[in-house]
Amino acid sequence: MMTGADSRTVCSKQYFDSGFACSSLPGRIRREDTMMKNGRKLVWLFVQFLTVAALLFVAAPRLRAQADAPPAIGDADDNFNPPPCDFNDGFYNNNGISTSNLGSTAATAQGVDSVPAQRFGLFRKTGPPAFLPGQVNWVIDNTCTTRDAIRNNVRILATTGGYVDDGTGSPTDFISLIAFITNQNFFLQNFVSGDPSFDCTVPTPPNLPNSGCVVISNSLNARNQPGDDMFDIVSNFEAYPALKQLLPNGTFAPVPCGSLDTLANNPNTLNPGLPFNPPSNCFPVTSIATPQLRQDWRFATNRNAIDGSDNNNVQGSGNSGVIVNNSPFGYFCDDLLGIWINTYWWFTQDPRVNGPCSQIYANIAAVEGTSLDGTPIVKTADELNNQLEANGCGQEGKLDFGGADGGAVWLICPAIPDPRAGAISLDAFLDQVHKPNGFPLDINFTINFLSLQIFGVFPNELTAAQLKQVQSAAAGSSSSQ
Amino acid sequence: MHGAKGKHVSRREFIRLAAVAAASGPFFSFPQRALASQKTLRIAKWAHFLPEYDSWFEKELASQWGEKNDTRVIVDHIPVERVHADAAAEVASGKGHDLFMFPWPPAEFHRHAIDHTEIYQNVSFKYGSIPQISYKSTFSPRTKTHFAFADFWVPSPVHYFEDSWAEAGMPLGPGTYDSLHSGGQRIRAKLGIPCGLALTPTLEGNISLNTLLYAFRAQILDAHGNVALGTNAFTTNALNFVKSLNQDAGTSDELTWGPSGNVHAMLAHKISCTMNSISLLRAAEKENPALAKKIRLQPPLLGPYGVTAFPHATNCSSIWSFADNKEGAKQFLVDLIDSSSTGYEKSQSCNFPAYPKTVPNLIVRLDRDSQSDPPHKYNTLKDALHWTPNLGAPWLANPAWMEAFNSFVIPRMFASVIQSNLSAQDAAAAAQREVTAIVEKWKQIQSPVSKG
Repeated sequence: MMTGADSRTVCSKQYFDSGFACSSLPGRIRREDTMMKNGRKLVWLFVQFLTVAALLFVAAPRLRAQADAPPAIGDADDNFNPPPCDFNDGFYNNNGISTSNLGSTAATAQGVDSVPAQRFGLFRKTGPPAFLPGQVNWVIDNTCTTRDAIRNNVRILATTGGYVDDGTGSPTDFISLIAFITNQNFFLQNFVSGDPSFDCTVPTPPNLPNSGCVVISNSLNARNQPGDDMFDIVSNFEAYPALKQLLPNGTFAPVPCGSLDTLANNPNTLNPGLPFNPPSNCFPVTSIATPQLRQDWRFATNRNAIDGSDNNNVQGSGNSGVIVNNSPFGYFCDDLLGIWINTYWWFTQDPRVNGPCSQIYANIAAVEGTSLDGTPIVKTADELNNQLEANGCGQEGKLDFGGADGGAVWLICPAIPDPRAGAISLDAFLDQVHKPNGFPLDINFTINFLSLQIFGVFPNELTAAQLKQVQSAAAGSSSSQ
Repeated sequence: MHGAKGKHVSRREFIRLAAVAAASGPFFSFPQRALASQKTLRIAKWAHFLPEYDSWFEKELASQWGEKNDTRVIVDHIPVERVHADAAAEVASGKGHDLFMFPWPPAEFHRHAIDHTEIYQNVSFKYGSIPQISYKSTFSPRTKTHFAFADFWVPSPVHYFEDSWAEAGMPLGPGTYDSLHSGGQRIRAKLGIPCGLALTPTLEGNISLNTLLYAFRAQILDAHGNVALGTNAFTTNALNFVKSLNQDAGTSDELTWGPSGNVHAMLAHKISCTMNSISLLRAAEKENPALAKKIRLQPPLLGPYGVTAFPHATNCSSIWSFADNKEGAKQFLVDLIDSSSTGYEKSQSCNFPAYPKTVPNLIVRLDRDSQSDPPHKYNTLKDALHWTPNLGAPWLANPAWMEAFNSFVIPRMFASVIQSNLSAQDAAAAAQREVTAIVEKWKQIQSPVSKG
């Protein structure tokens, strides 16, 4: 059993949760309080860091063990999944994504090497998602390229957790948030690969290709065709960032700023029982850095051809007219750069006031807990779609494709195919939402991450003693608080 | 020597010649009688968006099939907007054509059609089992029969002017409904060109608005056939969005267009985008290649429910239970499948085969289109089956859903909100009542005690 919603008792206790009362205090006192909170946060993080380090020390002999029999979990010979690295420029281009560094704003950026894209390896060495002083998000690692020819030598340490969108809401998705795509210019419209290994030229009709390239044309046509092929593919893979709606001044903003701040999205329009939201009371969408999130991510990984949930259909041909599946839209087989389109979602009612959505919020919160805003944590599509949006108590939208909103429209954020057996390296760290006191908002991410990092498996495969060690490491700070 | 004049005709020879003359005489004297013994197959066919396809269908396909099967084939082309009324009239009178080809699933007429399962079975020997879109468009779970045979469908992608949308920073098109609104707003402000969804009670308006509704997660009937329209905020979300879109980025013309009004507006470059079958782009390629070059295709817009668009047409052929030539009609449909590849070609890639095996090199053809500039423009349709649900989705095309479709419940609901006649909530409630009444009516008709 993976650590899921039923294990949240670990974090049921409120650790130094100062709440929002501070916002009404005079500025000086608030500053002191903030300083104290930051201090507590660092203490917690430091304690957690030490606990994990101690656990790694204990586990080190296991990790160093070679080829013993019978194999035990966490052995080095079990670590066959490589940790994530960035892709090389050629692979980006071959899949229809520009690596240009031109453009300085979200609307004018031309490719993943531009400043707005903030690509790992060029930008964000430190700072969010890293949260400890001096902590780095990525390192140069030349083994990346020797292990996999489509990679460059930037190994990603920041490992972002997300809820898997399979109905369970399990905190088992781990991804590498490499870069942001802020407008359509990132999608190449004219690019021809010079790499012979990617030669997949489609012959003139009525001739059929000999190589069977058409079979996987969804993704690979981006090599020789306009980038809109990849552009179309990635629209099928949605990531759900949950930005804070509680503004620094204590106001709850029920609408995002920018192009989504429309009359159609006004809470009063979505649910006539809600008050009309005045213009300018909106929350910013310009950054999806972890400190701006009210809860952890959710990723629609269920749209994968492997499990048939994408309604795959037979509709094409390979060599000699053989019928093939041409439209699988499988994440790992088509979306080769691991790109997601961001579906921003938000609450339409301030959770601190009574209204038509209060009971709905309470029902979800009773199951999932509450976010940093005091709104319920949402982990599943059912909660977002059928409980919130169906009642006008939640809404979702995508940013302007032209970059007018200034934020990330898409992410280059490949999911780790199998986070077990070495994919979470010992120097990686978990990027997750923390409470103001530094404690994880959902400690189950922490438990899963540490289990994967130290033992190479999910907690359900651990012994009782190992599980206890991991849980202690994850929650280790509680006794010290 | 014996001359002709002097030739003596024996008695036996005379009798033989007389017999031959008696036998063949009527045909020389009364040729219509000879034709009377020839079978006739009467086909009513919806007028395709591309006249060239209809010309081929009648003058080549049907004609050659008739010669081969000693059958006189009569094809009547019926404008799409008249199809429902004409079919209803034939059903009411119990006479008319043998075969009626609809641009949508004729579920409303299922009681007057034969079971087409036999045709699907015959075709399966050659081209495989019944495709999902055919099954869901023609199967009646109540009677366990197929009321029609669906052999092709027409995808409905987004058409947009690349140059206009580049001005909004979106050369690859709007992509989502949100960007359709924001980008469309910028284009109208900057260039004075509105975006142009068909919003009227026409085929184009019906498909566009049902698509939009479905993409916003709203349904007319749920997966169990129960009324879902107006039961949650999804319907009102869609209504409010379209009202906002029309006000901020659209044009009042959207509410007055007749059939193909959006097509004409695109061809005149009066709008920046629309949803339609690719017959629009084909018409542009024929009439104005320079203009056509600027028009690009895109899969349906991404909405809360995903990337999805109902087919612009689903070719469903029904053999009436009162048809004079049922066997001929059955054979025609079975043989029709063999010409799917040519039909795809003659429809200029409009007609996507329900049976993929019939056009095995579909992707290659889309990738290298001889008419389009650039030639790969149509490859965006290669995944069309992936994003095209059947009319009636998430369930089957059942009589109630199709009656709601053909009575334009959805376009009327949208129009009442856009024109501020009703609030979104009231319009959704009114449409819900209307659909509920339709569902109840069909329950009565189909109940075991009913003679209907």
